[in-house]
Amino acid sequence: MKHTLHAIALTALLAASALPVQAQHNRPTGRAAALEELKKMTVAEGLEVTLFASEPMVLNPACMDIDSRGRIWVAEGANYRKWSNPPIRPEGDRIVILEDTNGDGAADKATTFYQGLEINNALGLCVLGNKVIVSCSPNIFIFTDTDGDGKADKKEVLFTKTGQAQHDHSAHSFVFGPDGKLYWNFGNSGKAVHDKDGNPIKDRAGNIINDSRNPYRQGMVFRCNLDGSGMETLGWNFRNNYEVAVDSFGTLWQSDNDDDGNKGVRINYVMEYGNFGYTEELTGAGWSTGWNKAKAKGVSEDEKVSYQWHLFDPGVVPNLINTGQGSPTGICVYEGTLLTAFQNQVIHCDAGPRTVRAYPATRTGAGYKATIKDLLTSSDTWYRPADACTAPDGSLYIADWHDAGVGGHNMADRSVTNMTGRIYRVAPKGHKSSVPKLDLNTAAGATAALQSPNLATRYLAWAALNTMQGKAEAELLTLWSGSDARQRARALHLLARIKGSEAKHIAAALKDTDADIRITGLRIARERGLDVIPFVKQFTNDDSAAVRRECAIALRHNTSPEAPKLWAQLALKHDGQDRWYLEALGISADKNEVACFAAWQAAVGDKWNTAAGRDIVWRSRAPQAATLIAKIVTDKETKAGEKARYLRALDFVPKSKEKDDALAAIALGAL
Amino acid sequence: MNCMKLRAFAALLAAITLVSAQTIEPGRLATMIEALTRLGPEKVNANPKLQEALGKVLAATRGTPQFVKLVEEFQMKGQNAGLLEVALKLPADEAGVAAMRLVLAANEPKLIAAALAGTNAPALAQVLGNTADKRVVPLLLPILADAKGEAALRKAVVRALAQTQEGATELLRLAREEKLGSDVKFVAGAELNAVRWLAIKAEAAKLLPPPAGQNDKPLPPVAELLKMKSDAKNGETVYFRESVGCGKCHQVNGKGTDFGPALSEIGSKLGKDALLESILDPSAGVSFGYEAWSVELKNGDELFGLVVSDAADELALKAVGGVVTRVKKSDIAKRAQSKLSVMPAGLAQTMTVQELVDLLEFLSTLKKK
Repeated sequence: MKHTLHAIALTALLAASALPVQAQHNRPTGRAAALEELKKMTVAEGLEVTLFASEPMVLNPACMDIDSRGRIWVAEGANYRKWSNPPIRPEGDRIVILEDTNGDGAADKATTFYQGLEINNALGLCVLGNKVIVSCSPNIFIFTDTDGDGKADKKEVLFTKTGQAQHDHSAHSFVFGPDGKLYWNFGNSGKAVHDKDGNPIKDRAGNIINDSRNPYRQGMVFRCNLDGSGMETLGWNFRNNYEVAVDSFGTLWQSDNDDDGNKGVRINYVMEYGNFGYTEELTGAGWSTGWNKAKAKGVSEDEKVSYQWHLFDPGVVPNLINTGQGSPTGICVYEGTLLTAFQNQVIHCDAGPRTVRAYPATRTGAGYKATIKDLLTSSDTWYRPADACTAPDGSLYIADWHDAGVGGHNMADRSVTNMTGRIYRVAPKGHKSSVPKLDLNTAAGATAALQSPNLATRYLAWAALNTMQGKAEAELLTLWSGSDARQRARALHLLARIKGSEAKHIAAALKDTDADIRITGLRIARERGLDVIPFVKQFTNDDSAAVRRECAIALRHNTSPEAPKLWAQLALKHDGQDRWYLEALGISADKNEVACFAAWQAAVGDKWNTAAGRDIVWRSRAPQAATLIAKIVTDKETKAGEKARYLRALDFVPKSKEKDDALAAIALGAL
Repeated sequence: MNCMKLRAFAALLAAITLVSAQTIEPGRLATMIEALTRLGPEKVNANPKLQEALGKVLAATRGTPQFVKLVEEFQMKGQNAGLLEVALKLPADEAGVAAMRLVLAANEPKLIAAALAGTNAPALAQVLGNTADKRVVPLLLPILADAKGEAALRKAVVRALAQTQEGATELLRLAREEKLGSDVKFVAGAELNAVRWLAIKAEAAKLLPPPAGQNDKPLPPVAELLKMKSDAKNGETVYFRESVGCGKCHQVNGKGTDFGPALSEIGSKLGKDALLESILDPSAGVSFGYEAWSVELKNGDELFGLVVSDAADELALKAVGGVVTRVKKSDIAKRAQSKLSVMPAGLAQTMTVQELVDLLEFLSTLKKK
């Protein structure tokens, strides 16, 4: 009875409180207004921002892709959240293709590719030839334009029951990788992935993909084949990783949103198979646990973030950079040459502080360090960048959701007639858009297309060259012998797929002087299912910690009897400081901890008690590590703060006699 | 100083030295607690040496949040005096509230009644309220019957009662029967008009109407509002004013209570139009993770707040005011998400139009430094 009363009163209150603020916004809309607001934008030096499209041609762009013809594909989100029920656009949201047919730099043609209620507020769009992958939780659709008229003729599902409908933390965009695979992700309302028939999916590591902590939880990153087979879970325990970007070496980049207001937005280099620490690994406890620890220690605001992401727990991969408060959205790696100052950098939209930024990253040890620089900002408080993509001519396009808020379950433009949305182009001053001519019938033409900064073009080139096989080898070898490491990596991926020549090309890559190429070679060997043991053997003493990191990851779940010894060799190279490297070793030892630790103990002997050795002990989940932890903690030389850190590590050691004995020794030893 | 006094002083010094000899150096103490807690009651109780260590640790942590954790973890009996000490010291903290709950669980109402007659009674009433346990209602009600009692205590009792539905119902009954003293009438009105039980709230609005609003006229159109002259400094004063209460739930640069999302950089995110809507209609867009939940426990208790941690076997709920309560999932009968934001609607009525404009200005100046 009590609850019925509640419900009635609640409804009454809802109706009453909703009334006074449902009024429409009264800002001017349309192209003239958009051009006026364009004046409020600030773009990085030497570049200019132009308006490509605006309402009513495009409304609420939620995500975008650009095809090989330079056409801009947009998934609109007019039927957003509560405005989808009942839908304010009854015929459903659209996927629209925007085109500049007269070359004046502005879209003059809009073609509705598909419209329907089942794609309301899709958060991912990936153009692959005549197919388009649309991420619209709970479904991932594949639309096919069989006759090339710019309209979808066929609709299939790739995955189902993945994520909550109308939730920003669900499935995001698919992205084509240099290895011919698809990369994608979901945030922490993604929950699970199911196949087209609704069955759970087991990934290549043998785990069912869901967030039930066995072992995955929260937001995840995936890789799969073009047909959705061969799913791999590449990272987990994110909050709302919005889109994943892949560079030509196969390195993954992502943003992740914090719990709102906590100034904890982060950018990640996604070290494969890592846990990224949004919730505490053992219990699933949320941010407040980490925050309480930080408070108890009295740490600064900046350092607090590291506690919230549980970075001080063994088994959590470090963040690349913390960007403060935000509402991060689309991301890409800019591998064009037109925007010289942004070449090879991660470009990222953050709708909260209203900026498109770059994070130039350089390798440091087994990880990276990065800085932040703005690319496109605005004093217009409705500027809400949602996505960034590179066109075939190297110019950068930005989709602007354009609203008083960041999405986040609400919007201010609440009818189709007053809804806004903008697409901008960023290019050097005076740049005239163009589309390089595409020739996919010859090896030379396809190899030229492979060098495009545009992913849709690269997909077509990749598919053509992969079909040509040996006939494309000479052209690919020319690209391979060039000086641009990223182009060489792209060529390598295809050379390593020429049947019968795989090993030869991978071997050449592994001898390369460029560490990124050696890393790419190792990744390809792993992906192609080659025996990685002989390759790892070559590299246990490699100068580059990043190459050794990649060896560690390649050894993960390897059942060879040689694996533990090789792991120990890699562990001996740890410098006692490089957390990325340490975490790679942890990922590597997964399910093989006891053998790996034993091999390391045999190799290190009684010289284990060094900064590097203590790190290995701290990160290990082998029962033998507990015995050494007891030695460290009861050692008079160990500082108090350090003791707590090692005791924390014991939480991750499975129940064992060694662990109980260690704890008793510590409790009594401290008296 | 004469000889006698000197001797007494020396004895006192010796006593102090003796006591300090029994204390454990903080680093060691922390290590022992970490190790013992990880071993757990079963393994510690099976080993006399570890039991002895636990006893020492308990003595050394008396009066601290750690003491409460140890008592809870090792299910120790007869620690009520020590628990009460922490409860009174930290009445609005997780540890203090947890200590109070343990005392309530021990079912010794006489102990609590005695403490309620002591000098620390207002703090005790506060922490009893923060437990949100309906068993505190009969303990507190007698204080309201005694009109001559200390006003500070009686006000604390009203606030405490308003935290449970049973307590709020009793307050309402007293108001209906005109038995609320004039010293507590105002605070009872303020509390009951803000409760989440809508039937109680509705009757309270009639019995104890809130003071006439600062601003019960319709707001001017948004565009006009945003054109008005504004003063950020005054806006800051409005933000932290008791009757407006933004700071009671949202921190700005570390100031205020940590409950809803911090607003230290909100001006970098939202324009004044969106800020205004968030104030007028807080339920229009609740940030993911800041939805309100009501949790019914199997023992009939009810908790309400934000889920700050949803672990495998434990749920942590943060109530308005910031106190976190941890409950075992096996103790939960039901949990339901509220459709409404925890943030009350109608905040604009607590200030003048000019103050609202100033508040918007203040919020929009909160940017990343």
